[in-house]
Amino acid sequence: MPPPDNKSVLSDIEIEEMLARHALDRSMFRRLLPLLGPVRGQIAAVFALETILVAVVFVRPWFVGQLLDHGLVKGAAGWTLDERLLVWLSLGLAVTWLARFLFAGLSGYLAGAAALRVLNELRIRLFEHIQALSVGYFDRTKAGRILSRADRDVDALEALLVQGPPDTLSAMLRFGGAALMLWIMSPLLLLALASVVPFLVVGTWLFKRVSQKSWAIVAENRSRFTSHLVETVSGVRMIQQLVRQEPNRARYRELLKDFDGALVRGNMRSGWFAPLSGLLNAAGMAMILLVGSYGLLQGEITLGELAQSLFYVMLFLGPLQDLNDLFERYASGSASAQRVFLLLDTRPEVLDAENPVAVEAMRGEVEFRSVGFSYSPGVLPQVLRDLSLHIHAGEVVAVVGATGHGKSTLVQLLTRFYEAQTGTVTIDGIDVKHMRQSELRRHVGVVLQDNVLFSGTVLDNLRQARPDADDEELVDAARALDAHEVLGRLGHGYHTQVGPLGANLSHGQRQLVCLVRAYLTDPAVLVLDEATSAVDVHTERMIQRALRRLCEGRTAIVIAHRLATIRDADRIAVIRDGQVVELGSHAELTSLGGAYARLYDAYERQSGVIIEPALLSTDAMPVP
Amino acid sequence: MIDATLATAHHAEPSDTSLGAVPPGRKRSPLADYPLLRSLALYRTIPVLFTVTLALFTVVHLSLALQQWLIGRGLDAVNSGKAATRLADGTIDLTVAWHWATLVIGLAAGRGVLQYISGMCSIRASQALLSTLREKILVQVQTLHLGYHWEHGMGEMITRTTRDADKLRDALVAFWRQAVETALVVAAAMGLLFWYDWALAAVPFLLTLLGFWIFVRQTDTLVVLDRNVSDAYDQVNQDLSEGIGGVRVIKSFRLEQGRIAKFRGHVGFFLDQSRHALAWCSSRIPIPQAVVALGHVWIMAYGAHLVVAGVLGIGELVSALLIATTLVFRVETVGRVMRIFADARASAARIWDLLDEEPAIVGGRETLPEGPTGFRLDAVRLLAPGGDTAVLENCDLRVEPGRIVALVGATGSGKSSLASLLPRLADVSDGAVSIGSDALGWRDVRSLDLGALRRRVHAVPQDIFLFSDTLAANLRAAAPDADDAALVEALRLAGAEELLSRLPEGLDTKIGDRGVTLSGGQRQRLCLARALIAAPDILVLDDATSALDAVTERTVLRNIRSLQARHGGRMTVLLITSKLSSVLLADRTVVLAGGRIVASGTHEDLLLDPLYRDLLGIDRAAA
Repeated sequence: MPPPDNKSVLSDIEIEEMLARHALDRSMFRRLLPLLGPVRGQIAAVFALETILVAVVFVRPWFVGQLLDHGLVKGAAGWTLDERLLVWLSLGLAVTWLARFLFAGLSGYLAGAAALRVLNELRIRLFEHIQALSVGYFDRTKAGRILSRADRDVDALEALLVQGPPDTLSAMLRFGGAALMLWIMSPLLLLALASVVPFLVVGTWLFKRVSQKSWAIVAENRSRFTSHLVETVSGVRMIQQLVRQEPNRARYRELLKDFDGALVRGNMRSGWFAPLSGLLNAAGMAMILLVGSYGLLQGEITLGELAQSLFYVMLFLGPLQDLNDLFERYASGSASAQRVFLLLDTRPEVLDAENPVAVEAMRGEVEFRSVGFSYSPGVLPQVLRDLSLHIHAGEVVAVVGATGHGKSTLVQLLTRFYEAQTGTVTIDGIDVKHMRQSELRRHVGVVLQDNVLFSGTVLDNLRQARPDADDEELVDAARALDAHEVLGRLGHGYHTQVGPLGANLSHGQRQLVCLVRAYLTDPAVLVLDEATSAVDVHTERMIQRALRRLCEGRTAIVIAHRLATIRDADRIAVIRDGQVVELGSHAELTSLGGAYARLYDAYERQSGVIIEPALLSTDAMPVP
Repeated sequence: MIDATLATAHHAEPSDTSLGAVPPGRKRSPLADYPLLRSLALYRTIPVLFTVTLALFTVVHLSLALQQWLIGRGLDAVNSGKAATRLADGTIDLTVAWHWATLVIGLAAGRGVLQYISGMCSIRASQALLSTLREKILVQVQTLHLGYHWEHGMGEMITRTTRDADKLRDALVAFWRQAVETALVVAAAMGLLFWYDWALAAVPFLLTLLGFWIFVRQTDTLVVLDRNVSDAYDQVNQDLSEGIGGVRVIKSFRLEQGRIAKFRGHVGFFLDQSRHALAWCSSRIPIPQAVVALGHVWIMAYGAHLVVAGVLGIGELVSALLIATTLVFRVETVGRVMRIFADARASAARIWDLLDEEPAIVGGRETLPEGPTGFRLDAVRLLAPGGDTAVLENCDLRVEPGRIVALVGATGSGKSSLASLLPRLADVSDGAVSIGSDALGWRDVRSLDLGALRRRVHAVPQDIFLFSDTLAANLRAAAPDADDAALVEALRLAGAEELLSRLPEGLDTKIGDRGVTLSGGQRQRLCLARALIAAPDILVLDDATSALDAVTERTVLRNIRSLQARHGGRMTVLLITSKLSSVLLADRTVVLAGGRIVASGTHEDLLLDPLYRDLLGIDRAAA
């Protein structure tokens, strides 16, 4: 496991860009704004509240100015105080503070609620999109990477979408308001303050440029260590078995170090903004002092105004600290936004045709015509080469052949998990590409090698196939498949929790649930891809009897290594190197003496129908 | 044996993971009730960096007070007319004003530099702490027994390292940027105010204390609220990981809409919880903020009186008011920070819950001398997780070194559970599993070092797992120093030679996330090859050849039969299977039914056993 070199830090993103077949759109605002549509009202209210809040802030120094200029009067005998005015001023000041916190709380609630709504809508949209993506995407992309998109990257958008605009508005208003007040008091004061503005503008621009890039790298590094963790969780059994804890930890530490490094480097490049804003703040005050003392001498301003202006400087430059946080979140938010959009831009490779052919009912006549397929054309060799196979409606066809010669691929093409690069796959004469995927899959039922269940009870899982069925109907289906004997014996029967991805059940039990689930959908074409490999022969035979009934009146494609399972099939297709090399009934093929006959012979010997001492000696069978 | 009782006790009640539930015998951390403090206490591992950062922050913030004080002095100078004077020739002398301005800017510049350095130090410190925690989580994840994972699911583990760790990070950043700063700003501001006049300072001081007291009172509710939010979020993540992991089934059964609806439901619940928490925060947190803000009013009102009394200069009043404004702004951010801290406290609690979880399976110290190894089950009983039903009951089995024993049984009869007992991926509830031989002596697996045990006993599970790395790296996971020739040989033995020749980059081909670009049979062969290269003394194949075709399977099993373990002798093999072909390769077959061993013997011995015949589908006619 080589440590990643920094050169390739962004390469994963590039790979995904390629998958998305879309250049990364860097002007995200056009895409982000529509997300805010549903919460327009709330955002507008937040804007209004922020404006009020800024106004309140500006009133406050005015109270101090009034106190200094009118409340406190310097006489010959020292200072005299206008008590009545002071009471009014104090009350006013107290009200401004109370108003501030009241409105800030309200604004916080509105902004937060809007954020929750927008982000969770986006989360759902992402999930919908993920569910719509083609199987190929999942085969190539680490689960952890997809997860971290919908998880952390969505959350990181909050600052960009919801906190950002009102905070920016507030900063702008404070900036403009302070400038206006200073101008009203004395243009001189504003000019003094203006001297620091160029530094501010340049600093902000530089900051934005630098931080954006850093945060993209940080976000990438983050998703790397997240996906490593996800892999560790899913492979924990193998890690423990292989005693890989130490190397695995070392690798994780490496990834964390990369992440920390990227983060620290990013901060080194952008961390000067906060100190700079502090410095500018102080410089602004110093300039006000300088110019103020001149203006006071000239009689252009009063002491109260000077004191007041110091508060305005604080208001003017104070939000810079907030702005700093905001920029940081903005930068990390836009890095995340890019990643989210990248995922949303990834088009499913398998798309429904524009005018799909409506298929009401299917007879189930399946034909593969000169099909050619490679999982990665040009890189990986072809799995299927000019394969043709015609299956009549209602026929049971078994597909046999060595591992990795394309049997499962055939199924993936029939269900349109992948698409044939050459040739066509048709059902009832209609190209599967011209059917709506959902309709196609309603008529084509599959039980696959990786039999996955979802957390919930056994009944919950069965009900997925027939949402409207009551418990009794579901259990009846299990009975019909003779699966009741096993499933009924589970800890809590059909109410047993299957655990995440079905982990609480044994392999065989899971396969049974999957079979019943497929049975419940009552498809026109039923595909069993090694669907009974993990159940014992006894159970398998029981299922087989049921399957025979099940196959009546529909087309069935059965892939199995236990040749006994498929002996009764109407026809058997032997696949080798992505082509059908033999096709015929069991009797025809055994008498042909070809590949199937050899395979069956080997199988029979193995399964003990013929027990002979030669079993353990070498034989002439070619090993694929 | 002490470990054994502990593990069994734990096994019986695996769901007990609530906060503070520490298994007996484990020292409880004194900070167990203060998860956030306990996380912060990890700073003790980097004492120098922590102290330096803290010192820098102190200097930076005390200099802020100094800066405000300077401005106050400057304003006084302006007020008293010393700052700018009109010279005799009518020009204006700004020397004194320049003096104050330079002083302020100079101080601010120095402060800025220190602030930058302290910022860098704090980010390093908090990242170091977070990485330590993240690493701890990973170590814990890979140490915890499988039962824990089955029970908790992937969503929860992911939430721990993402959402929870991020909340903690926010708290750490806030700790430096806000908590330390606020403490220092409050201290500096109060110091200056007290220096001006004690009564001027006392009221804001008491108000600030009152405000903080209210804040702290509020955090308890915040923690509860965030716990609800997080639990709701676990569900969201679980949906996500199932939506990704089960994509083929989802598509085959057109479950997309159902899954989306379920996800929508969980997100909706999460949304409700979050909104509830948000509403509470937005309505309650302003209360303490307002309390603290009243201090500002006091300073203006009482300060004016002090000016009249001649105790305070006008410049000092303005600077006191500036300070009070800073203070209130600070405290205002405290509201936000308090929420961050409360969230982080809940997250930290969840992280520590995970970290405090006692690994149910802990290795012993004993070692077993090298040599041919067999295994023995003595009166083994295994309870289903959390349940009272026994998966295995009173199982006795003795397999001598070098023997190949097949284990057959109906689906759900406890075969896989038995398989995971040997490398101690699970522990027995009663009885004992031992490995060894009469020559080497027998050792209870619970007394042996875990790593050493698992190197000697390798179980290949039904569920295939490949690391997302190169083929070579996947194989070397079992034997880090194997050379390429050894890898190729292992692949050949596992019947994957042809597969190797088809891969574009041979051994260096990257295998996808879960090896999914390969077919089930191909993945299974790689898993087998990995097991073979480990050359264990005892090899357990849990239906590990189910996806292979008949011919390949036979070749592979024959290869395994002739394979030698590291010590030079034959491997001991436990073959869990449902195929007669595999059974015939074994020296002996054991029949498992309902968690009990009901029959044992050679194929010929068992031929008349009806259960055996039924399980393997032996026709009456053939016998």
